[in-house]
Amino acid sequence: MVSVEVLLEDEGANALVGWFAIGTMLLVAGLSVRWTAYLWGCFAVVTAVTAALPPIATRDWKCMVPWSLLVAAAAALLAGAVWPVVEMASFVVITLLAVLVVAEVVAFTPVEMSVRFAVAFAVLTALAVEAVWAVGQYYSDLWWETTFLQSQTELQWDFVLVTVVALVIGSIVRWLGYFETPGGSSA
Amino acid sequence: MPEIRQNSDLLVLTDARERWVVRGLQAILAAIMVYGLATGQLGMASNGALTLSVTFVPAILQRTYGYSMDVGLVLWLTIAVVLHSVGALGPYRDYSWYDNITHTVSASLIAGVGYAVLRALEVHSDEIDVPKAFRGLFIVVFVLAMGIVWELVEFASVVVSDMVGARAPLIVFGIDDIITDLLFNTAGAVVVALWGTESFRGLASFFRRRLRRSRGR
Repeated sequence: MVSVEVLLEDEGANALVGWFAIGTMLLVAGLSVRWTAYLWGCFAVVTAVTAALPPIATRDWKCMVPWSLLVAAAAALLAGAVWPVVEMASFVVITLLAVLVVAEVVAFTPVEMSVRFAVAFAVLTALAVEAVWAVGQYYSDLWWETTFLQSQTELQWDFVLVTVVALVIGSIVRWLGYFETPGGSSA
Repeated sequence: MPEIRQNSDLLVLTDARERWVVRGLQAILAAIMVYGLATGQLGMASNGALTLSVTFVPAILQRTYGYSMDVGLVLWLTIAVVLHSVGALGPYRDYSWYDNITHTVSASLIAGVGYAVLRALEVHSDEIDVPKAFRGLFIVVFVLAMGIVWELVEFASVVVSDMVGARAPLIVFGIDDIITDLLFNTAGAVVVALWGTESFRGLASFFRRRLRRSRGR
């Protein structure tokens, strides 16, 4: 098996953009709390922490996944904070967070996986995050009097939509060659 | 019916006895299916058929990958689907506590299947190489994801049976039910993750030795 790696041209420049994205995520978190959108705030913090985990753990500020993913996630978080009625934003962030986790596992741990498995696993991770998100929505409704879960059917459609979005974004990630094998090909 | 050769980490049943128990349980499921067909209750029949086919997954895994699932796991899987299937006949409605039993059981069922799939992939495919320390992450993700897939299946089965006019084989009882399922799932995932990373191995062999000693073996 030729294992996937995440390849970077210029680590410094990449990291700068990455930190900027993380900063934006934290900004979104602050705004969300201010606007009493506590669950979204938690979401933004979790994403920011996940993105900052490699540099913090390795004490190397340059140690980051390629910037495009972090910027996309920050943008989606911002969009979801500013236009909370657009549910699509949460599905996109969920999927991007999943891709981020897989990217970090592939780049910074001894785990090895093929490109195909990395993408498939990212989709599964998105479903896993959605499960956590659904539970979060439930308790947010309970404790903070939000109205995330209106009906069972709506929740079930959420599951369907997340799956679809995850498959679409997964295909895009694969097509973009975000995960590559060292030969340069995206198998 | 395949030979399940690999002995269990946790059970002390012999292979032959385990096989008989599983066969007996499969017979119950087959009976439910046949009864449903005979009395024209399509919901019950498909219930029996679906759960019966799930019990053949270990056999398929073995045929395709040469992977012998842990005997205890096979038994657990079979018990879980039987509880589900029998429950749909009445106990779910008649006894509110039955739900709690099956929640716990089905959560570990999904967890067990997730674990089995991961192990099969790891051992018999080139796609992935996971050091033991990281296995927990993969198991948790697999199990949670499969929980969502299960919800999708339940959703689809209701939609389909509505269209066909039959009574749904799997019934969902509202948001609380779904969330409870997901929570139990997570708990099951964590348990299986710990089991998978062999945090329980010491415990399991300790009990096994005690049992053997007490039986004078």
